[in-house]
This record gives sequence, structure tokens and C-alpha cells, in this order.
Amino acid sequence: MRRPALLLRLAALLVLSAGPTAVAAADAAPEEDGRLARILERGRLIVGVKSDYPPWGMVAEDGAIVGLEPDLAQDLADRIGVGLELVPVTSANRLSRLNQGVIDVAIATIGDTEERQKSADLLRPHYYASGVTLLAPKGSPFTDWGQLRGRPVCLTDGAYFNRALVERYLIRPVVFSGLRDALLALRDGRCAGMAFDDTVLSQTLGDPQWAGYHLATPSILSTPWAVAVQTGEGGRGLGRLVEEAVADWHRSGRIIALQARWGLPPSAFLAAFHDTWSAEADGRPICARTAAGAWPEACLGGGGIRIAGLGGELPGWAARLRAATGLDLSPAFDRIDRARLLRGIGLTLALSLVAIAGSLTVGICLALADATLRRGAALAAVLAHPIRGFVVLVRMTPPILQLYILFFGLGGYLAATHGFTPGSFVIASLVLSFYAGGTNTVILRAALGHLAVERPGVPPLRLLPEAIERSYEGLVSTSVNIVKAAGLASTIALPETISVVNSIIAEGGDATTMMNLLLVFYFVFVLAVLGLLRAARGMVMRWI
Amino acid sequence: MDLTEMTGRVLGWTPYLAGGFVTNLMIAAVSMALGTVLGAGLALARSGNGRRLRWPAELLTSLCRNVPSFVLLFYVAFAIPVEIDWGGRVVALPLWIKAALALTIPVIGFASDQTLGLRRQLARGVASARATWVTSWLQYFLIIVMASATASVIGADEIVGRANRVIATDESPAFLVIVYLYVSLWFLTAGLALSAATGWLARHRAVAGRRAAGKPAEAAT
Repeated sequence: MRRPALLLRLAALLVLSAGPTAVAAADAAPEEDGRLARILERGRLIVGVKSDYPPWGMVAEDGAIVGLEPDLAQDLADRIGVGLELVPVTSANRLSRLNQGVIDVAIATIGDTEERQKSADLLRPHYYASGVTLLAPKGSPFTDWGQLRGRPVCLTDGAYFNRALVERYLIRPVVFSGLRDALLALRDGRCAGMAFDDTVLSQTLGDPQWAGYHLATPSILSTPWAVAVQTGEGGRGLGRLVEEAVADWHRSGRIIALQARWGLPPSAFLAAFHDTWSAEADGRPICARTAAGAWPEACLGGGGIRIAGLGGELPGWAARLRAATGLDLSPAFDRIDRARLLRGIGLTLALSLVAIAGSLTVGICLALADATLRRGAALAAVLAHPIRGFVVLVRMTPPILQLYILFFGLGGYLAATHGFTPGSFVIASLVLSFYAGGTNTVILRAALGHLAVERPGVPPLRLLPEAIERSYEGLVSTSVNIVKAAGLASTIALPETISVVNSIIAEGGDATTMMNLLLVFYFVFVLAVLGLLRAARGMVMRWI
Repeated sequence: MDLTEMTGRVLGWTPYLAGGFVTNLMIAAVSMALGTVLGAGLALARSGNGRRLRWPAELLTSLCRNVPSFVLLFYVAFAIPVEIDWGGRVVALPLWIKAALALTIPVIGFASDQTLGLRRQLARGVASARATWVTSWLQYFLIIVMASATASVIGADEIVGRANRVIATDESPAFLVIVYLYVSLWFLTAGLALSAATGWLARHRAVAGRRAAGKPAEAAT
């Protein structure tokens, strides 16, 4: 019974949004307006905005998300006549959240690039433009991008300029999931500088805690920003409505007023767009939809920029494979993607190996210490308590929190006091070694305990080989678990396999193919580790 | 801002963080419940007579056992739609459900192996088989509670995700560390409670076992 009412509202809305100049669209049969119908049905518009990108989107003291983009989102919701829900998104996940349907619209500092146009519908007119510059310590020698060849540069995952910086200036990317993490890493000296949006960095510099830093390089790769909707929605009701709204923000000067309200420096882009869109001829706006429903090209100021050669030519068999199965192997034939994928897999293997060795060492040392202390006098037995407490602590703190705390906490402390920071590989190895090492300690401690009862008086060190033999299966399963947990290191900017796969998807790679290949890779890898460790049993036992 | 003041501010967010932790527990509970049922079904198929059923069940168990939950999180987030049509009505699927579904998969592998072992031990007449199963189930529950902390990477509104929002209200690095340490304390408390429950159950069973065997029960511990 709700349908007819809904359609009426939709039709009314289309007429309203299209304005007086687009009667043609309203006359057409009401198309199936998937997303807009859904928004009206639930009575709420869900907009993805940034929460770490002041003043575009940030978290206020009370936890609410505020900023220029939330203001624009509110304006959209008011135009549709529904409530507003803001969902925080990051550069890496905003387009996938859109395509997963978590959000209806993304107003999240999305630079319009040709690669992204494949992942979502980027709407025009654009509402802002910005470039990329480098925040670096004042004493640093870098004044131009060309000098950064081979140097570590902090980046945020999914930014449009990441690939261009790697490709053109050969920087060494150190990629974090958000601005906060990247800035902390810069302060801890983990990179030569941090490359980011120039409007945000000029704001960051206003904060006294960044007094020792400056914008070291010229602003490059200027890119227009677009509001995005799910692929296919651009031509429907929702897309048209958003485009009308953006056009109106330029015409009425609303976005210029917001720029002033949020303390942004005046943008030449906004001034030019205001002039263009508010211009009239014979009392009618020059920039209005044509009869076909499109905007005059002259009003749009050009399309998105082209960043890189993603989706270049595939060899014949790979193109046929893609046509037949949808399996898109483009990254394997792209020089940069292939190099970072191989490096990522190498890092995953290396980290797994180091963590397995580390966790066995930790397990053996702590179990031996525990058993030895317990055999000793009362005083020595008391000393075993801190070891047990430590084991409980490392086993019952989620490893993802251990990574954050050590990476940003210990890393920041060491940077401030000793001018030295352990890298993400070192931190990840430590955390994984101790997390799994705690479990190994418990396994070996139990075996040593049983053996001590069976053969009293024999020192624990002599019982160790048999304890290892008895708990071999348990140690293997801990080792396999640590291999499975190694991907967590992606959260502290270690460019291992999962992190690279996510970057490639964020930059426009085919998500289905990449996700399935990642699953297969891990399945085979874990099975191989399991097989190797089991096969090594005889060798290990002879050796000890 | 000094440390005491910061700690005070972090503590002020306790109700908000506690709400997030409830989500963590829900994620763990849902995935354990769902995974145990499905895994037990797989175990039945693996130990049954039907050859045709056996090897697919083995393969499925192996798949569930050997793919990292961290990868599955991204996979499920990407593969499952967020809103589903339910008889013409749109039902929003909250992200924590997706996290629970992702974590269900390793639970299936675990439950399949454990239940198969249980059936074999029961067939051999091992008295403590059930108690062993319950103990390892509780230990795995703890592992899944820890794993639920990773749900924030796909945007689930659980305690680590909420902690990140709290951290965003203050830029100082010390504040970040305090918030994360405080969140760790929640997990530690939950972990200790679960361990205590496991220990209590093991002792309780041992006492009950002796009683059933006709021996006088020792002082109940």
C-alpha cells in the first residue's frame, strides 16, 4: 500500500530537483529509482564523510562528526526531506562502502580520477579542488619532489596521488590507514615527510605542535573533488538530485560561505566556479541542463585527471580469460603492481618465518625459566609469578591492540627520548612472537610439568627434547595460527600481501579477482606451512 | 593536559566503550553458536558412512581451518550486501553481523575437528571426552573474543572502532596509548573471567566424575 505514495513523492521530487529547465526528464516515465526510493522508504540519507580530515570532516569533543562535508550532507538530506546519518569512511574504503551499499552518497574528499570513475559514479560539477604537497621537518634538505627518490614518504591508504608519487618520483611509500597514524609516524621520524592534500596540510601547520615543520615542496597533481554515488546511480534520481545540489552550492555561493565558516583559505577554484555557475543570459542561467539532461561541457571545467596506466594492455590469453570468467589479472601485468605484490608476498613469508622462530624461542625460554624457578626454593618459586602474569597479559590482549600500543606508544617514546624508531616489521615480529610465544609457553610448561612428575630430579633442560616431542602438534598449530595472524601487520603500515591487495583495490583494481586470489594464496600458504612443519618432525627430533 | 586529566577523560568515555564491548561479545557469541552447529554437522558428514559426503566435508573443514579470519573479514565485507530485501522490505545488515559471519568460518573448522575427535573418543569409551570438548570450546571462545577486536578494520562499531573515535577527539600521542591500554584492560578482564569459568568447570566436572564413580567427593573447590 506504500508503493503509490512513494512513487508520487518520487515524481514530485524529480520535478523539484530537475528544476524548471529539465522538464524533459520529468515527462519521461518514472524509472526504477533504486537508491532514492530506498532512501525515502527508510526516511534517512546515509552519507559517508571523513572523520580525520579537518576541517572537511572531524570528530568534535562530544564524538559527533562535524565539518564542511557534514554540512553539505545535511543540505542534501534537507533537499530530499529526510533525516541524515553520517558514517565515517577512509580514503581506502569510501568507494567500497558505497558499492557495498553501506552509504548512499560519499562526500569524502574524493579526487576525481579516471581510475575511480570505474569504481563508482563521480558526479559533476565538482565541488572543490586541491593538490598534494609534502609536510616535512624545517631542517630537512628536501625542496622538490625529485629529491625524494628512494626516500620513505608517509602516505594514507587510497589517496589518488600515491601511485603517481611512486611512479613519477620513485618515493618509497609508507602507507597508513588514516591521517592521524601517518602524522604520528612523521613525528616519530618514520619517514622523510608526509605527502597529503595541500588544503589540509596548511591547516595542520596552524597547530602549534607542528611549529617545527613546513610545506617543503610545491603543490602538484591538482585534482577536482567529486561527490560519489554507486555505479549506475549517477544517471538516476539520486545522481541527478546531487548534481543539482552541487550546481546550486556554486550558484548561490553557499560553498564559498562554508569555506569561510570553516576557516579555509579562499580557493581560486571556488571563485571561478561561482562566476561560471551564477552567470546568466536573458535572465536564465547559462549553466543549465540541456534538453538531453546533460550539463554544458564548458561549465564543468574538465574531467578527472588520469593518474596511472592501470588496466593497460593484457596479453591475449589474459584478456580472453577476463572476457570468459571475469578474472582480471591486470595487476600481474602492471610493472608497479607486480613489484609491490611480489614484495608483499616476500614480506608475508619473512614475517611468518621470523614470528614462528621467535614464538618458539619465547615459548622454550619462558617455559624453561618457569620450570627451573618452580623447582627452586620458595623465594625462587615466587619469581615465577611475574612470568606467568606476563604470559597471561600477552595472551589476553588482542594482538591488534598490542601492535597499536607498541607501534605508536613505544615507537613514539623511543623517538622522543632516543631519536630512534623500530620499524613496523620489527614491531610486528615482536608482537607476534610474544603473542604466540605465550601459548607455546603454556603448552611446553604443561609437558614439562608432566615429565617432572614422571622423572623427579631431572633438570628441566634435559627434559626439554621430550617435552617438545610430546607437544609437537600443539606447537605446529600455534605456528600455523601465527602465519594466519601475520596479516594484522597491515594495520601498522607494513606493506605485506593484504595491505598491497587492499591498496590495489582502492586504486581501482578488480575487487572480486583480488579478494579471491588473496583467499587462495593464504589457503595454499597455510597448508604448505602445515605440511612442512609436520614433515620436519623427524628431522627436528633427531636434531635435538 | 597532564596524565591524570587525560585518564579522567578516557574514563569518562567508559559507557560508550562498554557499549562497543557488548558488540564484541555479541560477535563472538553469534559466531561461536553458528560455527559450532555447522561444524558439528560437518563432523557428522566426515565420520558417516557416505563416501560421497565425506570428502567434501573434509575439504570444507580444511578451507575453514586454514584461511585467516583477518582475510575473511575483508572477504565477507566485500561479498555480502549490506541491505537485503526481505519480502519487499529493506533490512539493513549491521556490520557487526558481517564480522560475526567472517569469524564463524574458523569456528566451523574448529568445531568440525573437535566434534570428530569427541565422537571417536566416545566410541572408544573415554570418560573425559565431553569435558575435554567443553574446555577447548571455552578456550576457543576466548580466541574469538580476541579476534573480534579486528572487526574495526571493516568498520564494525565495536570497542576498538569506538576507541579510534575517542582518540580522534584529542591529538596527543599519550592519549592514544591510554585509550588503547584501557581497551586492553577490558579484553584482559573478559579473558580472565572466561579462564576462571573454564577452570571452575574443569574442577566441577572432576568432582562430579569422582562422585559418579562412587568415590567420596573431596572438599568442593
